[in-house]
Amino acid sequence: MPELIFSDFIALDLGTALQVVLLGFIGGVLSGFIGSGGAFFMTPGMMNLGIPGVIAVGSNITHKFGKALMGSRKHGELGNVDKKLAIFLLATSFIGIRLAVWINTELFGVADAHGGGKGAAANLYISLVFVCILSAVAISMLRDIVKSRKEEGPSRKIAEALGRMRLFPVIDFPVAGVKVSLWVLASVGLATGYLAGTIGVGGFIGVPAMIYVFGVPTAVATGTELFLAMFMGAFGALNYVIEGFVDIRLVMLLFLGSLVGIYVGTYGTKFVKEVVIRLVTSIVILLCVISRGIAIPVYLRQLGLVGFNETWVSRLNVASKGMLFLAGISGVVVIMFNVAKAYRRRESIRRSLAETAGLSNKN
Amino acid sequence: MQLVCVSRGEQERGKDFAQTLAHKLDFECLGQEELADLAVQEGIAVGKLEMAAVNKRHLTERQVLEKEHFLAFITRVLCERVLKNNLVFHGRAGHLAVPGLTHVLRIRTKIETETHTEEVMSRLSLDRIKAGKYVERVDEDISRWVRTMYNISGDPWAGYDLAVNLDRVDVEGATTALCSFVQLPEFQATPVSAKVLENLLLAARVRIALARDERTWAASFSVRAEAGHLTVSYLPRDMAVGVRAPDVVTKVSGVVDLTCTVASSNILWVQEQFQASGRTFDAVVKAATHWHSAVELMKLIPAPTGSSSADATDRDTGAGVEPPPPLFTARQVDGGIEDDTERSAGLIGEDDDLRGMFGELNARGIAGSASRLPDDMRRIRAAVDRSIPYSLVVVDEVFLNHGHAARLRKTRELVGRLGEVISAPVVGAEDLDQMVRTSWSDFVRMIAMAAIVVVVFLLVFSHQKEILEFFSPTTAGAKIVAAFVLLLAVPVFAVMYGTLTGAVLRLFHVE
Repeated sequence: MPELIFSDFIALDLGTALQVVLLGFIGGVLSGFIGSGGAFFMTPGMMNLGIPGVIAVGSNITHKFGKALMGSRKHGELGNVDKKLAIFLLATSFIGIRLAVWINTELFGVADAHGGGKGAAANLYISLVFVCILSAVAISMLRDIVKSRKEEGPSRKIAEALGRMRLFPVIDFPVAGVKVSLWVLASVGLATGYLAGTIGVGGFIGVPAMIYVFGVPTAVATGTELFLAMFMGAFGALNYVIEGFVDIRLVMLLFLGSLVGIYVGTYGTKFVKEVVIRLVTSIVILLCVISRGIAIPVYLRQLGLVGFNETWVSRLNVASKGMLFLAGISGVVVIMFNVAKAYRRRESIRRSLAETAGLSNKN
Repeated sequence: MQLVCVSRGEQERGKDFAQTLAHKLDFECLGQEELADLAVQEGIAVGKLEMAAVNKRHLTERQVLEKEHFLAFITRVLCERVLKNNLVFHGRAGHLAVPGLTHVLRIRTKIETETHTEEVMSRLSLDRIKAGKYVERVDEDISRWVRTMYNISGDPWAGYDLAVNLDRVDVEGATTALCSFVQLPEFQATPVSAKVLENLLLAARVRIALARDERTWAASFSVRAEAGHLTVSYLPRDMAVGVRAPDVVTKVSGVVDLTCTVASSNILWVQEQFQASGRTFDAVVKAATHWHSAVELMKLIPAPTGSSSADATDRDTGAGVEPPPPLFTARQVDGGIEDDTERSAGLIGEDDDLRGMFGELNARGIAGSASRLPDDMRRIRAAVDRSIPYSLVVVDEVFLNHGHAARLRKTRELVGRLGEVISAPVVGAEDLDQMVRTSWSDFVRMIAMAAIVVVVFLLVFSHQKEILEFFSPTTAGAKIVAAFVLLLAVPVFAVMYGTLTGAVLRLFHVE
């Protein structure tokens, strides 16, 4: 258990601080590379450093607020934000966030029969939601990759069924060019808000829902999600800071790495094929899920639900942390390798063009 | 060489209208369905592509390649037929497949929803509710198809010359009236439009050849042709495949020479006289190199002196006072006939400064394409290919033979018009310079921001306990203050540090 500096906040030495910056950088690279996300790496990463899950989520959602502000500004300039759609989604997402914060706060206070294991219930709950949701996301991404190789698109069964049902009232969104039932909007908003508030990951649900369920163009879905994330992040940050679960030091350290990482990740998309992007992302997510799964027995033990030797706790913690960093670092290495390879090839083409032009000028 | 494109959706009456019009004009008639059959014979999975576009899915990488192949195929078929014959094409927004061709007559037919529903009820034996839903769905699907295929962001039903309501006029009456309309000079082929058609056809043939060849089918290519001079650009991520393009392209008949460029977007540079030196050139080269963009040159050929009274007034007075709008502009008095002699869209090879500039860009690996156009707003707007991903449009010195006031007004108008069809920033030379250049004041600003960031970090990490205590409020008042400070401080810090990071990374060409 790490040393506490105040209340439930851990003391940050240089090593831990650098690890948080690295988490931010890897999360930022993945976020820039995929177009959304990054929290799926940063939240469990912070938990692996001994930061209570609630504080990891609270700090991450505060960080998400600032990050989305930067991203949505760019998308807004390009006309990729459907503000009307975002406003409709926001209304119910706030309810989802509030619900998530309430559950997390209540669980944080739960302790075992001897008064120990404070925060373990919240950690367990966050980890379980994380494992369930992100396993589904990673598996569906991998299935899409296989399907697209067979020239099939992702499943549209849900969207088609909802379209047939025509649940009134149906709202028209001219920027995105879609008409969506208010009930579907409310459900998606609620789910996105709940997940953003619980594990800090909202984009993984919001963006696919907008693309596949609403039929919004990809660029508008990403832009609108970032716009949405800005307000969801602000609301989430507000709720968590009122409960005293925002560690501003972590927010700043995450920014330090993530805002550099986002630029690098976005740059990488120019050089890497979409199928590789999706493959790398889904594998990284799967490894993150395994890493979180490894940590679950530790929380069960803290709650007194299972019993095993103390040495296993540190082994499991090391394995979970190692797996997470392995996932993130290998993902970043794949991206950087492709960028470097493409850059070298481009430079060689440019050199040969310049040489040819030089020769023709001499002639 | 006349082309009439009728967008009629799925209406049977629209099909009748197009066929009757073609018959009365003695034009060849081609429908969307026939075109789709030809595409299937070519090996394009039209059905799957249609389903992907219509069913709200985003296209996979493979489907994007299929789409490029299909669009090139549509362009090839239309151009080949128009070059041989006069043609009425009916279906979905065929005019978008021939960008830059200004003599196309674009007609949209429509019937009232009620009438359409009744038509569907009798044709498909559906009850009124189901037929109504079918009509609504079909209209939505077609709009989606047009948007997906041609990258149209706004209303796909905008930008037509005529809309014919077949509820108000019958097919016979409407087609009879239109027979005279088709004869207007605006819709007659000219040597300029013949050149445009040939260019489009060659580019389409090359794109199809690249799609057919097993060495190059797997990459996305953008192909432009100008009198046999081909420019093929491909994405940085497709470099391994793209380097094989010359082997395929040079075998296509009509190709005089080839320029291959690796680019993820295009920069359109509009100017009257290009010089391979100076601030604009440096800024464009720098932007294109940093952003991995290809530079498309559009040279505007000025109107002959004295072509409009307004221009003459401007030249006499020099500047200052905006003249009243002219009674007749050059466009109005030419009766719609495009100038084919002095201001023609000609060859790159005939134009020294354009050729020189293209060579300079080519030597740097950032050459896109080069074209010459009269400084006519309609022609410039029509020449923009919306399927090309532009990242920036640079408008430098244009309308130089006008007075200062008219030049400013026309430049502003050109910037506005280009902004309507291209969803990328349209900037002048000075703005571009500021975008790409890191000046001393930028360095000072960066240092100041870096200093503030460092100070904030030092303050937070030297007072960790106090800061954490502040953000762990217990009373209602303290909670409000903590929330307010957090919501204010986080975005300010994020924007400041994000801007600083972007500026520093730009120095290392990571943009």
